[in-house]
Amino acid sequence: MIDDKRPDPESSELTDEERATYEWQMWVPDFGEVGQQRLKNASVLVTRCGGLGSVVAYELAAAGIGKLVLAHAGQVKHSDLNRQLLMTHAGLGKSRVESARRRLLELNPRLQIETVAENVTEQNVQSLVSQADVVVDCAPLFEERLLLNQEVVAQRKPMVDCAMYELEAHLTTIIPGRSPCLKCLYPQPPQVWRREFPVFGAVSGMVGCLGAMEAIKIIARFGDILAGKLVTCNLRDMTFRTMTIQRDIHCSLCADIHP
Amino acid sequence: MKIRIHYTTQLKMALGFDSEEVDVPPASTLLDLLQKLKEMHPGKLKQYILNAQGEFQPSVLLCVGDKHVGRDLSVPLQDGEEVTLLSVISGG
Ligand SMILES: [Zn+2]
Repeated sequence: MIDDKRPDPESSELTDEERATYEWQMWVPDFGEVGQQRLKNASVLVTRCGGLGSVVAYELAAAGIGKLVLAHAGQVKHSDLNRQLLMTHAGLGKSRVESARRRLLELNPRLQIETVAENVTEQNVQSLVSQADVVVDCAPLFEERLLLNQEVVAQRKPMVDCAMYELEAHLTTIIPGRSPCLKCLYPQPPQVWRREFPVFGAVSGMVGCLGAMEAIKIIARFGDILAGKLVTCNLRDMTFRTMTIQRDIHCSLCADIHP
Repeated sequence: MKIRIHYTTQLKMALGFDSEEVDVPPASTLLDLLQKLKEMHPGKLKQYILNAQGEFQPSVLLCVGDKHVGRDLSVPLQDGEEVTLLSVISGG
């Protein structure tokens, strides 16, 4: 269980429509109406709404998150459409974040959405992270991941880190001061990483669902989260493993932070 | 003694297989094992597990069993142990 004794912020009650919409998930033990209210009062930053981030955002919108902050540059291309489920054929050539906004509001018109038509940069990272209670990192570049990591450690915010390659995926949750941060795990990006990688939408979508569930548990404060653990999935032979991962006592970002 | 090695993601793609068994002398450490792997696969593994200075890449996570061992390569290995080389990934 998540040991979090913080009082809930001023929470707005659920409306009749919200109770009707989320009735089936409020039957989940340890979640209930209190969990639903926590989701309603929370905001999540999803960086890039690609194969992974699209599904994270869609599942969070479906679950009744109050606010999403979406950061993703560029226009929809043909090669997005095998996996970026918030993009459509009709949206080709149009803004990705606007396509994402339209699709999410079709599902959940109560959702507040802040869109930023940029990827994470040194200039925008502080402001993006400050708008969220939880960050879900879905960026395809290590430089963006390490920037986000640095900022969530500075702002002491939880970050769910989801990544995939070919038929494999990795997932962990960073709680600054309690779990390894990304810099504890890899102080520099690998020398060999190609911006374009082999991907099926079913693989990125699967890890997107896992990442969304982690964010829901962190916000609603139930279940066990992946702080200090890394899940690896290999869909070629359906092997799922949970590794324990350790902090680097010399980490330049988080070594001095204690729970 | 025999050690089962598992390779993931880009390492697996570079080698063309995901697992192999390696024979190392008794009392070998993780560092001894990595040296042996480097000799066994000189061309294919090099760019993934070595940095420009010829040192082991800090972006490969080393796990003995299900436990990440950080950057401590002096960890002693036991016969029959499983070692995983997890190449970090960033696909979104
Ligand atoms: Zn750290």
